[in-house]
Amino acid sequence: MSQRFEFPSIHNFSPFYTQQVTQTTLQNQIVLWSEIILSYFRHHKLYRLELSEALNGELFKNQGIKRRLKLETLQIIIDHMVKQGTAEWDSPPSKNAALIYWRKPEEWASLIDKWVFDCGLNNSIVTLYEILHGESSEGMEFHNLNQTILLKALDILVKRGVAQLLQGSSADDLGVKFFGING
Amino acid sequence: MNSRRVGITGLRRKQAANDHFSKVGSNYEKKQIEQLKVKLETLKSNLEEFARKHRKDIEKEPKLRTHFSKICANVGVDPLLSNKGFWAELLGYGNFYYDICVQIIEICRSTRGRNGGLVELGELKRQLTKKRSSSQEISEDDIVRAIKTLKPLGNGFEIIQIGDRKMVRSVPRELNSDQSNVLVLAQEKGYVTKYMIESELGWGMERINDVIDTLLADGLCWIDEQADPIEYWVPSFFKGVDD
Repeated sequence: MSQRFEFPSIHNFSPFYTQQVTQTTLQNQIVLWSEIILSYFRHHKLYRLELSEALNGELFKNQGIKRRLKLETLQIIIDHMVKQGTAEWDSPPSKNAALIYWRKPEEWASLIDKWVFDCGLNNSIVTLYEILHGESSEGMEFHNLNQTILLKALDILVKRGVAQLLQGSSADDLGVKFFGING
Repeated sequence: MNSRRVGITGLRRKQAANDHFSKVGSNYEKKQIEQLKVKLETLKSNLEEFARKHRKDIEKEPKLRTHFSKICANVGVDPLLSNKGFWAELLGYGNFYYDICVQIIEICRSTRGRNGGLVELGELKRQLTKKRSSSQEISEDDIVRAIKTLKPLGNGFEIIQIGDRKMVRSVPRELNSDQSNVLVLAQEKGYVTKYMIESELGWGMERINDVIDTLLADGLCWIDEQADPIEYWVPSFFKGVDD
């Protein structure tokens, strides 16, 4: 894996793992947690949060001070992030997993749009696989992006009228046609 | 009749003497004021010359700055308050403290939700230094000075003593003595439990619950329910909590 993530000091503050009883303090706690989640996910290039599984990982479980965040508290935090547009529940109304948007789908869409232009891929058909794992997208930030998020980004490009989705025989075969600059 | 005339003359004479005395007196006063004015002018111009000569050192050396500010204050010149004009121009002083004030307000405001508006002076200094990223060293004295200039704004900035620590309070709220006592107790470990309060301060549970409730409500304490017994942490005493 990539370099270790440097947690901020408050990650070692024991009460940070208890849902605070005072409203203003709780609001602040939620904001601090969402900031940590976003930078942790950005650092490790992660996109999807499985809540119960993550509660046993280093992000929400601090071995050093023997504290762990509770599921209900994490759900409240994600709810806040959803409101902020920095997360989305993966299959609501269940709150077991969420997509984490350290870049919003709109931003991913713009990055892809620019890449298409830079590579001269206008008017050609590209498969999702090529966008996510192909040689030409290597070094791009969206290389290895979560597929659900990619589809959301492409959907935005479709709505903008610059791309069209083409059904293939399987999900990986799904293609996109990017229109020309004047098309 | 005779005695009456004498009386009037006497009074008139007395009056004349009084006038004379007060004339001499006010002359003397005037002279003294005149002299003092000259002395002050000399002192002021000496200070100015000193400031001009050692401006860099004054800016760089917190200790020198403290002494210099004290002398200025004694002569009735406040280099902090005179934002415009000669002193500020000469020293860039107004700007120096103005910047610190703005930065203090920013730090206190952005950390208020975490610490309930209470920051330790040393911690504030550390954060200021980090924020300023200039080579210019600032002392706790500079911070105290800056905070004093914030007082007229009436936004509650004040330095209070809690146990052996100086804390900067940025919310207009007084700590009652029970709260202060618990905060002093929390200094040692960074937290208190109800039992610690009971055994150290000898209070009954009702009083303990009251003070804990208000500390939590004011955001000065965070609760840790995963500890047994439950611990009440004071974020202001937790190093690096605001990073």
